[in-house]
Amino acid sequence: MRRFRNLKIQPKLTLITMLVAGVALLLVSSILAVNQHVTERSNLLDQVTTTAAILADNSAAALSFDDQASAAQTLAGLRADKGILGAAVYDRAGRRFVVLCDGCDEGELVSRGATMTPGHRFGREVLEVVAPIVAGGERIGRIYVQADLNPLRRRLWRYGAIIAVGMLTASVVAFVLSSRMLAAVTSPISHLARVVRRVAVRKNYSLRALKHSDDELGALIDGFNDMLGEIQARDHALREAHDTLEARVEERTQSLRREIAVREQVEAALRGERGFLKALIENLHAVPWEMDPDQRVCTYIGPQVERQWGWPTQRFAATGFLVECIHESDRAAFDDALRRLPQAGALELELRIRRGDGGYAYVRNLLSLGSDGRSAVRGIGIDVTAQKKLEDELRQAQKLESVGRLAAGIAHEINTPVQYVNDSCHFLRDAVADLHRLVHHYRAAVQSLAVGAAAPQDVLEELRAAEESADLGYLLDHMPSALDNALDGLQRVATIVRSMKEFAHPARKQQSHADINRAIVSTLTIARNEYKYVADVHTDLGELPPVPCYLGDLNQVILNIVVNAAHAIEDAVRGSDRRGVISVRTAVDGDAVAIAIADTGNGIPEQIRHRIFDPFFTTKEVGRGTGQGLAIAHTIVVERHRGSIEVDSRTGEGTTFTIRLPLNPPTAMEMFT
Amino acid sequence: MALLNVGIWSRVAAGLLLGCTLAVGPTAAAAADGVSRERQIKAAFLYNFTKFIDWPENSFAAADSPFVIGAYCDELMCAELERVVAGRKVGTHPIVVRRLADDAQAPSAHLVYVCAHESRRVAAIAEQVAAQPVLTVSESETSARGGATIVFVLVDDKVRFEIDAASAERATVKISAQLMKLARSVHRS
Repeated sequence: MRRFRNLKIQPKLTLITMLVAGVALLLVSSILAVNQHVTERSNLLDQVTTTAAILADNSAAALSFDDQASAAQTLAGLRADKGILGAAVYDRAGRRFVVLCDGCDEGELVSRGATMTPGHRFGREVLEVVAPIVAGGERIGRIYVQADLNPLRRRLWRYGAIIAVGMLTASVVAFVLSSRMLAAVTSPISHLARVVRRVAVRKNYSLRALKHSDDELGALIDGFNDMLGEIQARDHALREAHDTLEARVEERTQSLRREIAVREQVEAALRGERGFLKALIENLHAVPWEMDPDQRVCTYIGPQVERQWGWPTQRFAATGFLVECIHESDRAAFDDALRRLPQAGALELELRIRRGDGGYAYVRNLLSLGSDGRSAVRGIGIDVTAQKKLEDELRQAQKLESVGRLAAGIAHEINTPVQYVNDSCHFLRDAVADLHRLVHHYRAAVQSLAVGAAAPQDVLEELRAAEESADLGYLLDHMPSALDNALDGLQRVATIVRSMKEFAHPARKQQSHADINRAIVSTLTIARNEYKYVADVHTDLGELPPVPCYLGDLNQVILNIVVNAAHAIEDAVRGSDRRGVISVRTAVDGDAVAIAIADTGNGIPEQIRHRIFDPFFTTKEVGRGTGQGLAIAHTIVVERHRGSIEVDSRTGEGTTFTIRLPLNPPTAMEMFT
Repeated sequence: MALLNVGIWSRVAAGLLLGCTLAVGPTAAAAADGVSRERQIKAAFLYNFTKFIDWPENSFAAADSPFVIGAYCDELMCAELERVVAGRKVGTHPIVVRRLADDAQAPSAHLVYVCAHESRRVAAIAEQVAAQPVLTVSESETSARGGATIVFVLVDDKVRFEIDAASAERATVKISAQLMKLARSVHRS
């Protein structure tokens, strides 16, 4: 097939023409030959069948009347037909009656005819026909006729030979004719192919093919010549464009060279600046870093990490090291922050980082997402350990300061009951002395009456006088109440002392469940001196479950707010005889406990309201406040208890602080101690 | 066309083979006894004649009227004839065999067979059936051909027959050319 494809067009077309003509011719002549043969066979069969029928008819009487001679005579008529090889007549019982067989095997012929069923049979060399012999509607025997098929076969061979000779002759004629006629088609194509080759080799687009005719080939050659014209034009244009382009490229190269020189200068400057910035960043106290949030691996960390926390930078490139460095209790917060970061964009997160020496550093991290679309998280870690220590010390100091400041008030609080305990005791001491003297009089009277030294009337008179001078009635009236007063005063002192003890609840590292209401009452007790001259306290304490908290710290929060409330009211009522109200309410609010402390002061001015929780922010005169109270309250509530503290203030009406403490706080961060 | 013919032929042949179990051929049922064998052959020939001879249709009263073979013969011959024609027909007519004694009975038959021992009656019988469609068959060749249309003769110990074509023509029966060809001598007087 490939060899055919690669043939030149002239032999290819000749081959196709001859193949098609040959196949058509062969097909037609074969069909004719086969048809002829089939027709001849059919004719022979008809002829032999007719012969057999005539013979059967003609031999019926001879068979009926057992006249073999007559039957033989009838059969002898067949000799005239050269195609008939032999014949036999059988009687009703199938026995041979007469046989005609010239130069053939008589026995074989008789037995073939006897066993064959009526009808015909085409053998290799003979056609056999068996017909019944009928007389008067009765089958009385059969006739067997054998015809020669060889003439038929010989004719078939002759047809084959005629077809072969005819095909050969036709092929030769077809070859000569098609070669001559196809040249008209193929020679222009060959010419075109030669021109194409020449154009391709010499790249000479000015060559043209010659047109021989006005048929499709002519159109093809026209089209080819047009195409060559087009290519020639384009080639010319291309050459021009190429020249222009080269000039432009040269020009552009020059300008690029200049640009590169400028760029190199800029880059050198940038490198210097970059080195400066790098030095600046890497000498910061804070540690810059970048991490892959999926792998939890630092892709960059400032070299100062070694100086600050004692880890070589390359340690952070190891998988898992970063997480190991974070304090166990802070890992959940870290994961949470990474989850929230895509929404928040930037976060602040305080983590305890294990140092190389085994201790922990408090690190405030400012997290942000990488701005270049990667999922990298960047951050700056600021070591706030020292700050934490200071804050803690400050809180301690503030607590001491408030206790100190309260001390005078508490002393005053204690002094009042002590005063009237003292008065009662003095009264009781005088009363006891009077009663003692009176008893002495009674004993003397009993003595004198016993010995009869004085008249009873006189004794009675004397005793009456003594009672009167001792004012016995008054004494008996007032002694029990004096005792009650003393005991009452002592009770008050005891209450204050217990409150102080409770307020000064030793700071615990662990949270414990505590009765918030009781803590509020204690705190109000020890702060009483701060407000009692300007305000009344209303409490509305709801039933609360034990709340997990650091009680000592919480007491300080309440105290700070109550003292602030008292100061606010004091400022509001100064110069008048009005009194304010401090109301304290507690209630369960969902899964938290709410503590609301309201005052009827002047409220917090709008413009400073957002600063009240800032450390060192105060509006009070020097000596009255340090600016730490609310800042510490905020730290304690929000950071230690994971609660919230809100302020609602109306100018001229008052301020309400609402503290919410969760009943099931998340693992709280331990305070630095 | 040839194929169709073969089909018909094979079917006809098969039917014939199955139907004709009672085989009566010229050489069938050959007995040791020469006389009885001759009787059988002659009875068969008589029946076979009906196949090659046509009687005018007006010789029958109806389409199913019997074809009568009248035999002036002895008991044995009549019995043999009865055996041969049993269940057979000439065209649409069933064949019956009647044993005749009187000459006047001859016209009632279609085929009259006169046995050898009754040969002397042939002339009288021929007279009785003159100009009627009755075929007379006699045996004697010596004693008076006497007007019988067909006469059995023995040639080389074989039963053959002679035909008087003129007599047949008078009797208005048509004898086929094949039968004529087999006859030993054909009289056309």
